[in-house]
Amino acid sequence: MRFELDFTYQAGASPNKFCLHMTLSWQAKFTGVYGPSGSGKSTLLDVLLGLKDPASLRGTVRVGERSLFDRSTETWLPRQHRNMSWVPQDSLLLPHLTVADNLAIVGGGDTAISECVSELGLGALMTKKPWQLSGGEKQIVALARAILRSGELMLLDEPFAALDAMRRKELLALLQNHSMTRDINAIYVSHRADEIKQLCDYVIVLEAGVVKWHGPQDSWQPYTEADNL
Amino acid sequence: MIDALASSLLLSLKIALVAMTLICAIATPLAWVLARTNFRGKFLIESILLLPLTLPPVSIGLVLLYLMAPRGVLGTVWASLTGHQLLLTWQAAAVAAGVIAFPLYLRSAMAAFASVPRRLEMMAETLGLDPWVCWWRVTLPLAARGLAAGALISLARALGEFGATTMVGGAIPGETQTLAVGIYNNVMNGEEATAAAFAGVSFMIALMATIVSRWLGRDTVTEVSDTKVRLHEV
Repeated sequence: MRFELDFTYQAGASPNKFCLHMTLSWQAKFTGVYGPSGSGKSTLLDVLLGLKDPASLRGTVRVGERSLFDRSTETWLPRQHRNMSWVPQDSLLLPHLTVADNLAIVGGGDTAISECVSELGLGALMTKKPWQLSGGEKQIVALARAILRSGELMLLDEPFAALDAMRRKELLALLQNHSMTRDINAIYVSHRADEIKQLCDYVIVLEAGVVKWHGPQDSWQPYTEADNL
Repeated sequence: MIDALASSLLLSLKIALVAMTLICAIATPLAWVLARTNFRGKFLIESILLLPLTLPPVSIGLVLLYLMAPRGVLGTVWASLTGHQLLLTWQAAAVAAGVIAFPLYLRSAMAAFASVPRRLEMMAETLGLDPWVCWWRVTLPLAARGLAAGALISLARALGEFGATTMVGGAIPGETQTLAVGIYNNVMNGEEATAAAFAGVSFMIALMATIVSRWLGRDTVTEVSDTKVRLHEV
């Protein structure tokens, strides 16, 4: 999938507020975004998802064939038409719905839900409400929801940070397998270089709101390029 | 006495339920707009809408009296729709009770909508749900307890309304004599035992409504993730 980003996001009018600036074009199937806390990784996903106020953006954002945002033509594609799946850091499951209803709201169909539930081992959780789940369980449900959404781009924001090492390894393998078998394009945000190395074919390193490095994963040397992490 | 009490109780409930329905229909979308948008003059509009909380009900009744008079705006519209005058009817009392109880519901509803995490709604939109569907399936259910608490407290307020309802509905036994009006009429007629019975029933209804309203609007905490998000604090 081709990405053409040339935008500036300014969190507020004051010059002291956070600013993310990106002028970057790349083509990749699985893009890793790496950087320390506060570098702008999640903000980048928010911009792609349309969660940021368009008034705080300048420039253009194109993903694939779609123009998501273009200040010059006043284009701003509504969130519900962006056809993206999202696994946020805090899962954002709907608290008034059971796990089953959280998955059904995506509208993937009973067969797809059954397959996904079985693949991720969620069978025992289906009747529970989000507040009855552990942090890790919530993240797996959020991953299931994103898989069922089957958008043309999946955005994963440190999805496995709340999981233990063994479960993280299992799910990384599952995600890797899933991306290959179902032809999923994804952006994977993490501050774990090993996860990005395992999953991604292109890497963007952010620091303090600017791109510090970008290029193919096999030419990325995280411990020298970002040795402050 | 029992017949008069039952008649006043049923009339009060009818007036209060109609008033509450009107309030919910008008104030729910209004509360959502006020809770979720910022615009020039919003503070002034909110202040005007909350005015019945502090104005003497009788002065609101006076304004409604002019509006509901045969040549008033509401009186004319009502007469053209029904062929009857609006003043001195239970419908006039219901409108007056609704105006008085309106800000209590509006305030609760604004707090309920403001407490729904915006990111949850945005997440639902990224799943492909249109904003209107998202409002029905995410915003409204999450605000429902706060809305129900507000509706109940406004119902209780409408049940006990006296000043404005008397101005426009009068105090006609069997027609516009509510529980509150019944207390006043019986005291004026020296029937203190009957007045006490009316007051006792009013007290019980108000107590129940307040308890249930507080239970519905109690400080519920819903897990959005590891962060606890306070949903309602009415």
